[in-house]
Amino acid sequence: MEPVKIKLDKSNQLLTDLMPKKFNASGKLWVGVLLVIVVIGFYAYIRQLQKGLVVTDMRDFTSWGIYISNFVFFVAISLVGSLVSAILKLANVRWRTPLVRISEIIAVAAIFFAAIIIIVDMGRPERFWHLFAFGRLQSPILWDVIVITTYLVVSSLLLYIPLLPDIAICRDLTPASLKFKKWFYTFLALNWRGTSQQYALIHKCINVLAVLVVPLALGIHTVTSWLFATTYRAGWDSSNFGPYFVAGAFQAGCGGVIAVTYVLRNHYNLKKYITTKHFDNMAKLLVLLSLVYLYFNINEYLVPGYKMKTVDGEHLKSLFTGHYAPLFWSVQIFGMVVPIVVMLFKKGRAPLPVFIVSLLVVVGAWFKRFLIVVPTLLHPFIPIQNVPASWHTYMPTWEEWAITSASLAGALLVITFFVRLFPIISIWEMTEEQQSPQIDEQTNLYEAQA
Amino acid sequence: MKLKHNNIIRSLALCCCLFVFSAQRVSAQDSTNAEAQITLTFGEQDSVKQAKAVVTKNHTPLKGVDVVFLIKKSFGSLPLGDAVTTDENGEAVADFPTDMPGDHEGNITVLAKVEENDQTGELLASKVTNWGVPTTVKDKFDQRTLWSPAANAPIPLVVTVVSLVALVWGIILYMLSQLVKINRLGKA
Repeated sequence: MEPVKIKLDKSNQLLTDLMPKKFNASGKLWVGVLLVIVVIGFYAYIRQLQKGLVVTDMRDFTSWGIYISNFVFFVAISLVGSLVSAILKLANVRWRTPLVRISEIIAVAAIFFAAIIIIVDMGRPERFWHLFAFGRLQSPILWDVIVITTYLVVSSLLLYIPLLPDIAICRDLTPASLKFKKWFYTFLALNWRGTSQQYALIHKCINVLAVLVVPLALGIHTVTSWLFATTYRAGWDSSNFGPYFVAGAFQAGCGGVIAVTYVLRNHYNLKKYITTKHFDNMAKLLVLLSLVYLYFNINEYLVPGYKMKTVDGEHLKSLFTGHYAPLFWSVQIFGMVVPIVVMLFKKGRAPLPVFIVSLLVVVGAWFKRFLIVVPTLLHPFIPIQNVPASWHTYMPTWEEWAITSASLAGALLVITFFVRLFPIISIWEMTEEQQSPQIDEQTNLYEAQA
Repeated sequence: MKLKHNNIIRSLALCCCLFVFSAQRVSAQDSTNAEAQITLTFGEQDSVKQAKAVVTKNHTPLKGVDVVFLIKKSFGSLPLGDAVTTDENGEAVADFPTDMPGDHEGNITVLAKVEENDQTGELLASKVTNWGVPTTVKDKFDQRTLWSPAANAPIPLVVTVVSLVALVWGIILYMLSQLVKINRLGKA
């Protein structure tokens, strides 16, 4: 395999455009706001550690609140890594190159905080290791622990291995005077010299990981759905839950990567590399994923709604016309129907409308997980009797909101610092595309079509 | 003074005697009720197994007493049909089913019970017979099931999970070895 020749001087426009840049004023403000949210969340968690889970509104019936909703959301978002890095790669979609690293860092940040939020949900977090030491193989919870850990490692490798040549560029361009920074890049670059053998190894690793990550991604969210579906509860007792969750995860992840891509494109002026055609294509993909998810939603709600079995009926009434109806219909309409309708039109697939629609999808996806988790818990088969009135409802406390917000801010901080340290668009892959006549032909054809 | 003391002692002794005498009278009345008896026997007539209860009072058969036959369960009792009224011989007979599950030897505890009868009060007799169908209780405690302790997970589940984990983590370790190789190539 021919090594990719990258000029390490100012004449290389790719380096000028894509090398990591220092935070400007708005960047610093963004980091400051996120840090404040994280600090408040950390304070709330210390209170939770001191006083126990009683600081939350989770009680005997609603034993899973917004922590678990948030966990399912993070797991869902993380699937975007496999969508862009693996599925689009295996489908030989060329335009995905500038989006690969963005989706991979979103996947790693999301799955990392999914693991953290599970520990937050534990009343005795110091016993977390018991899961590994005393876990029962028969329990889907242990399967989830295994698959999340594995997916985190594979996603990290899928982020790190293609990053090696770019880390080496950062290493080589960092002045010797910045000793720590130089050491940091040198340590991570693994003696990358850009030889043909090293490139061959990288390509082999990426191909193997791309194949491996697809079943893992399906597995991680299917197993997460089994946490619910293996219990006999109204709203969860469904054999359809695996594909329903996977479809929702791809939709949420796609929305997430579009939203982050839009912000990075505008902030770092990457319009030359992330074109309107990228948004057009991602929007079409999002429409497809939203349609699939809508189909699963119709199945999940219409079929039990037709039968209206006693407890199922009560649960569904609370969603359709009861306490949760405003949230339920907002999620269905703004998180699914509106995105489909808007992005069916060409004008709706321009960057700004797609960004707004993607935000709706992501916010809708978060509340959708809340609607999956909480209303079911408030509709047990045995009526809720002889308990304090507050146990009949669930309204997250400020500690829960603070900790949940901190986890979301933490994930955004990971992405932000990653962009500060590493090129968010792969320089060597963009160079490789420019140097490959075959790819050039395809790119020209693609641009002509655009 | 001594005379007074003697009188008090005599009075107390008299009270004690009266108390003992009255207590003996009550005991005698109870024993009168206690003489109502129920006995339970098992037999066969025309190849039909039957439980027979005989109710007597002072060794005289009592007619017209309702007897309920029951089979003792782990918790509570299973009625063996409706109550049977004793005949002039004081006998109540119930046919015994042939498919009643018993313990591992087929033993069944049968109860014959008279409830709230003016003549007899409550009476109960119990007896064990081996007329039940022997049942083998499967002790699942040590079996490999989905609800067993961690050490007793079903073998197919263990094989599936361990195989998948070994496969995926084997590939991950291979990827890590490739990173080591990349590092070595750079050094060379």
